[in-house]
Amino acid sequence: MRFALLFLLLTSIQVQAIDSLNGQKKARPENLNLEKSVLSDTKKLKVSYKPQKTPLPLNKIHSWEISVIKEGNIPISDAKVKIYAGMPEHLHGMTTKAKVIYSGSGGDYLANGMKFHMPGWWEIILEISIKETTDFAYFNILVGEDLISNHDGHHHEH
Amino acid sequence: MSIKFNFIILVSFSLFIPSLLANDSLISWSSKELALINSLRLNQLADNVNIPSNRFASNANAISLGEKLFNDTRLSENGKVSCASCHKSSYNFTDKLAMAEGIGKTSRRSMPLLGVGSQRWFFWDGRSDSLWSQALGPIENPLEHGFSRTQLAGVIKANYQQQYEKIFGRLPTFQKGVINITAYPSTTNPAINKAWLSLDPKEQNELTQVFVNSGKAIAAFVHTLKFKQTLFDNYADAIISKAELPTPFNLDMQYGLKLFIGKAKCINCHNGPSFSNGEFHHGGVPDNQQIDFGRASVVTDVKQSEFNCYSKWSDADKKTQCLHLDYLNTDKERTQQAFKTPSLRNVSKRPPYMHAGQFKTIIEVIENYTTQSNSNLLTDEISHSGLTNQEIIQLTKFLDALNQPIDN
Repeated sequence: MRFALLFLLLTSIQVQAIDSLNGQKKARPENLNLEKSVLSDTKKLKVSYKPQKTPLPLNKIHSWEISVIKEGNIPISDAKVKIYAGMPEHLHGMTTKAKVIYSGSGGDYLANGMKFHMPGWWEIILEISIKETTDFAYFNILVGEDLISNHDGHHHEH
Repeated sequence: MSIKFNFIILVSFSLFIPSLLANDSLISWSSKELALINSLRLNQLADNVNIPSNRFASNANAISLGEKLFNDTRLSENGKVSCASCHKSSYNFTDKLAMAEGIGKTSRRSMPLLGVGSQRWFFWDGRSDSLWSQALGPIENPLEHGFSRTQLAGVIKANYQQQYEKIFGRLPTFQKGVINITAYPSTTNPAINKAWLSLDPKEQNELTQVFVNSGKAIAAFVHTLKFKQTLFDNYADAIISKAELPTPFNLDMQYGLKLFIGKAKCINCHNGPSFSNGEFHHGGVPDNQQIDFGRASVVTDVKQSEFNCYSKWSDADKKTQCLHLDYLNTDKERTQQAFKTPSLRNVSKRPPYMHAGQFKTIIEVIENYTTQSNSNLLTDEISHSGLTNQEIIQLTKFLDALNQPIDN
């Protein structure tokens, strides 16, 4: 299912793609893994994220810090990283197109343009390409379900 | 005191207590529900007006000029249409028509203006990214004011020069006759466009500057039209702060709120203190005579529009304050026939509903959502099936609790 969702996101959410996935929505599991640091699909990379705003804001464009390291705690500085976010219960992604850039130090990257316009479960997919190989890392987040909230009503960036 | 009397008091209390407790004991809220309720509270809305693209947004003189311009019918082709013609203060700053009528009849409903200042995109399709640029659209729309920036400059010069100059500096001296012609950059009217192109670029620039400044003044006024505390906000404030519960937020309203943030899934789109995520969704409503593609018809244009955040007319720092354009997802497929999520504050007091006034009552709106299935996946998110008639009534009672006191 993850690959189905990834396919959906990678194909820019074409109507045909959505139709092909009709009926494949995922219900939210009771115990979601909400770890902010995970091993990649191949288990070769340790990937972590840290939002620049906590709790995760609703309806507000913000950035995430992404860290990519490999065995031996060695930072990866030459990866091409792409980020996708989707709601498995709804089969749609963000209304923004986030872009990941290298921060200039260690294995640190910056994902700019993150925006969650609905509360609930979002699945984040990181596509990490290093030279000829591509790996994936997945995170689950819950938006808007934390009572400690920032003032988030004004949508203008300051 | 006799035993009999004590017994009567006891019975009276035992009958009375359950009705008192009904407001606070029958509904319990999980931590997730409390978080969602908290996010809807009016006090989560930033109160300060900090609009990067409009440095006059909180200027008192601009607010005063803007209010006059908002109500001035001289800013129209026939001298009868002002912003206030469709945005009536007595009706939540919208009107009762399914589709707005100015010089001609438009194909969409007038949007209510209360609280509009906190939005990111403007118009039903979000073709403007600021309130000031939105205010300029209808003025040059042939079906609305049917006016032009040239003629507007004439009205400012004849009636508002002193007030204008107090805010924006010297009003340019326009070439004789220019303020009497109808001229602006038009892709639909060759004669108006030709008249515009015949003007000297310096004069075009000066005329547009006056036009933009007028939009910023109107926006400054509209920014003052704020939401006010409602029965829901009082209740939410009380349960978040664990204070005494206000009794007018009755049990039906509480159940309606539970449905709103849960089973009925209204909060998917109607979220945050404005009860709108400010984004665009296919509502599954019937077409109104012709297909309106909504957001999809403008989403690729907003990055190039004449008055957007990137434009020279915007006061925003282009590198750091136009993120909504920098990262905009311009995929048209996902925004076919999508329209902006309206706020639900005061909603039951301003029928008709939807982008072309397709529905006359809130019940019709909810029934549209409950009967929509996943037949079109673009409407997937608005499927609210499985609600009983009683639950629909409870939802409407909750929506009634989003009405603010009438004093505006």
